[in-house]
Amino acid sequence: MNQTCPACQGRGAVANAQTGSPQKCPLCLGTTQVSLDLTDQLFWYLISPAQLTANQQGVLASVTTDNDADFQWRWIISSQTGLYSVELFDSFAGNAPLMTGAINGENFAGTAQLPFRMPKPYPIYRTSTIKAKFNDRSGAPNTIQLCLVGYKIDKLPKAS
Amino acid sequence: MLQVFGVPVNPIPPALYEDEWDDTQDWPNDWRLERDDAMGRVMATRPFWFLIYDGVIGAQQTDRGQITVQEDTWLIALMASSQQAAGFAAQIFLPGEETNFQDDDVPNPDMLGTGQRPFYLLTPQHIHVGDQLESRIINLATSSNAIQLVGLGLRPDTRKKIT
Repeated sequence: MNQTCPACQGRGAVANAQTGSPQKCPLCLGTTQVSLDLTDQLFWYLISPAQLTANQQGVLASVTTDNDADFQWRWIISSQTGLYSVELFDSFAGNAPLMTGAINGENFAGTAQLPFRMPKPYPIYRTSTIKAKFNDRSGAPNTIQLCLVGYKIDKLPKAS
Repeated sequence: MLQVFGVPVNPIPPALYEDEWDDTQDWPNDWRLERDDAMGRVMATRPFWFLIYDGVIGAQQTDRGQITVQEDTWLIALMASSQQAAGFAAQIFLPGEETNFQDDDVPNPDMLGTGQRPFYLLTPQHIHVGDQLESRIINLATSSNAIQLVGLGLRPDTRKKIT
């Protein structure tokens, strides 16, 4: 169950201890709420483009987060039948890219055994869309599944 | 470790919290604490991957890369891929800060991780807007080699939640 963030008292920002300038609250990350219950639901959002043909470039695919909860993105996992590169865009941030160019899959995503862990959890707000642009580097048909794994925040019913 | 009195919208049981379980194979305890403390002081939360070098280099040839950082970034991790198993050697420079990160060319297995196992820095490296990040890459293979060197950074999150 969410409650007002005790660090910023629900303002979403705090004063920098050194400069006094306002900055995003480090506890609630600006969302003004924190959850103190174990009610997050582990969840996989899957981006699954149509099979890429050999050396096909710019294949678009996207995933829209459900309306039932914000999503905290914590791992990147992919499986593929050949080498690929990908570029992600965050529609909630005006389609701002999350990278300067297409990043090779081996530099971007891990596997379930060795997942790529986000250095800090990244919140993806409900009903926002993450777009991906895939390029094949294998020279052969390529089936790619890219998983954004994390937690739906405050989704599970509270234990009584 | 940074002590907080709540959990930031992520109440994962302590037994499953990432600092408590899967890090042990990557970082000895004291390293992990240093990293966590430094990470706790970085307010930026938006992940951003930037290409430090991306190109194809001829057999045993050298190339240079240069990028200009468009926004303040905290460099968190380094990753790279090489088409050829022989790999490459690299140096990275921040000329604006008069910083060389290596005195000599370093083979990629000694310097760079992968998506499965990124080379996480112990303390984030602040790269200021407008700074140029330069690289020198030597292809160690006896054939042409597609090489990509990627930095993972954190930038300020400017989104505003509206729902």
